[in-house]
Amino acid sequence: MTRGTEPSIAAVSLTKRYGKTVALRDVSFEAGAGTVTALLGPNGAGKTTVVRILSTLLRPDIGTALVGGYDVARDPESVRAVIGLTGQSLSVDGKLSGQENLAMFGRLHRVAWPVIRERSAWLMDLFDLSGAGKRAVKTYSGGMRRKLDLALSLMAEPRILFLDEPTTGLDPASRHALWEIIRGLVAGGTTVLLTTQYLDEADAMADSVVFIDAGTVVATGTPAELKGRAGQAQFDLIGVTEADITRLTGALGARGVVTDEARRAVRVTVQRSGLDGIRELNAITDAALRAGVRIERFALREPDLDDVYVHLTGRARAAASAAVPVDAA
Amino acid sequence: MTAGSARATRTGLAWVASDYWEMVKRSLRHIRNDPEQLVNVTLQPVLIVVLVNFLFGGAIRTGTPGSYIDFVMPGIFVVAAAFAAVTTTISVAADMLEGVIDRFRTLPMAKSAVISGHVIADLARGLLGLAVAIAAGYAVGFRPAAGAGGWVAVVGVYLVVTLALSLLAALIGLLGKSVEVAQQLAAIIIIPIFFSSALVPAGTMPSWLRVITANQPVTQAVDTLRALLLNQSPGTHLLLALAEFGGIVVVAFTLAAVLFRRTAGA
Repeated sequence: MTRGTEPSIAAVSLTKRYGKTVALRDVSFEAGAGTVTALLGPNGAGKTTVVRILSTLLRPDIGTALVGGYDVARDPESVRAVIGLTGQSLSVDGKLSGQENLAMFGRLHRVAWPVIRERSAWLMDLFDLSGAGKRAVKTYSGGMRRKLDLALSLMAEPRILFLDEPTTGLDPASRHALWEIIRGLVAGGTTVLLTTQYLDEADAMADSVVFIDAGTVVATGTPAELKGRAGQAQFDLIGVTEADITRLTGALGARGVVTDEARRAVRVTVQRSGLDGIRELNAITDAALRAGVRIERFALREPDLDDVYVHLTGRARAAASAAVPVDAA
Repeated sequence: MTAGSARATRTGLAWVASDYWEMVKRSLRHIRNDPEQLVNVTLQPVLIVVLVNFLFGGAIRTGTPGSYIDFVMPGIFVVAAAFAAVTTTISVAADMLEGVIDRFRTLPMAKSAVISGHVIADLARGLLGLAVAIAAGYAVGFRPAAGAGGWVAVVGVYLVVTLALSLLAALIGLLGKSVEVAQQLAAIIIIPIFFSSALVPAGTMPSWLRVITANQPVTQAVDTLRALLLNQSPGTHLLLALAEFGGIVVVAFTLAAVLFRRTAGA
C-alpha cells in the first residue's frame, strides 16, 4: 500500500469548527510517499476542509498535520514549497493567457526562468493546451481551465499534490486523460491526495481510501478492503408496487435496505462467498417468494464503492450508479 | 524529483522584489487584456474638465490669478487620482472573491505582493489619468506657470496622493462582500474631494465647514499643487500634504495587510 517508508502526509486528530458547526472531528490518517490516497465522502462531509488544512489555507482548531515532514501550522512556508494544490474553485487568472499564468505562478513558486520555459511547453503539450497558450483564459472552456489549473499546480514539480475534486466538470475523455497524467506523476514519485465524489475514481486511482462522513473518518483501507466490508455481492430487487417492497423488507428483516424509494429498490448484501454465498442467496429468494412479493426486475453484482457508501453512511447516494437490471422473466 | 532542483538560487529579499514585480506585471497585463478599465482615467478626466470648466467656470470667482480652469485643475488632478483608485477596489475585490487567491496563498511568495501589485500598477493608471487631464485642461485654456522643477514636484505629490487613495481603495476592496458592493463603496473616496478647496475657494464656505475643509488632507494636497502650478512656494501645505497622505499610506497599508490576512484566513 505504501511505497515510501515515511508518510508524506500525516494528519493527527484534526478538528475544525465553524461557529457551532463541527466541520471535522478528530480526523487522523496517513498517506505514504508515492501513493494516491482518496478522501471519499458525501457532500459536506469535510473533505475540502481537510485539504485546506493540509495545504496551509486553514488552521485546525485542534490537531496537527505533517506534510512533507513539515508542520502545517508551525512551518507553512516550508509546506508551501513542496506542495501543489488544485482546489474546487478554479485558481487561474482569467484575465491572463495560459502561458502568462504558467510563467507567473512558476515564478511566484521561485522556479528559474529556463525551467519555467521548458516546463510550460511540456505542460501545455501534456494537457493538450498548446494551441490556446496565448489566449486569455476567460475564453477557455471549463475543461480547459481545469486542465490549466492542474498544470499550474505542477509547475514547481511538487512532491505532494492536493487535488480537490479534480475531474468535476470534465468530460469522460478528459477525465481518463487526467487519470493517466496523475498515474504518471505517481510513478515518478509524487504523492497525491485527491477528494472525489466519483466512487469509480477512487476505485481506479487510489492505493488507499479514507472515508469521511459528517466530519469523521468512518473507514480507511484499500479499495479492495473496503469493498470486502460491504459484502461479497449485492442483490438488487425492484418491487412492482410500494406494498411489495414493504412486504419484502418485512420478510428480509434488517438485511433488506431500501436504496431508492421512488424506484422501489431494495438491496440485500450477500455476506459470504462461494457455495455459502449461493446458499445465502437461495435463502433470500426463498424469503421473497414465501412473502408473495411481486418483483419487476432484479440484478446481482459485485460490490463497488457505492455499496461501501451505503454500508458505512447508512444511506444511499442519490447519484449511485445502478447496475443494469435484468428483466424478470 | 525534488522541487529544489528546479528552484533558482536567490536571496530572500531578491525574491520578494521578484514577487512584487510579477504582481505588478500581472496587473498591467490585466489593463492590456481588458483596456475598458481605462475609461476611468481617459474619458472621465476629459468629461470632468469640460463639465467643471463650462458649468462652474462662468459662475465662480476664485480671487486667484488666472482663470477658473487654472484654479480648478489641481482639484481635477485629485479627482483623476481617485477615479484611478476605484479600479484597485474592483481588482482587489475580484481577487479575494475568486479562487485565484487560494493559489497565491499556497505559494511560498510574499503575500503582501498580491495587493501591492494592484496598487503599484494603479500609479501607472493614475499617471495616464494625470496626462489626460492636463491635455484636456490645455484644450480649454489651462495655462500653468510652473517650470520643470515645479512639474516634477506636481507629479511627485500626485503620485503620493494616488498611492494613498489606491491603498484606501484596496482596503474597501478587501471589505466588500461582492465586486459590485465594493465598487459602490469606492465612491466614498470621491466624497472628501468635494469638501475641500478642490473645486471652489474654501473662503466662500460657512465657517463650520471651513474648519473641516481647511484641515483635511485633500485641501493640503490641492493647495500644494495649486501653488506649484502658479509657480509659487507651497510653504507648509507641501509638508502637511506629504505628512497627511504619507500617514494614510502607512495606516492603510498596515490595515490592508491585517485585513488581507483575516479575509484570506490563516
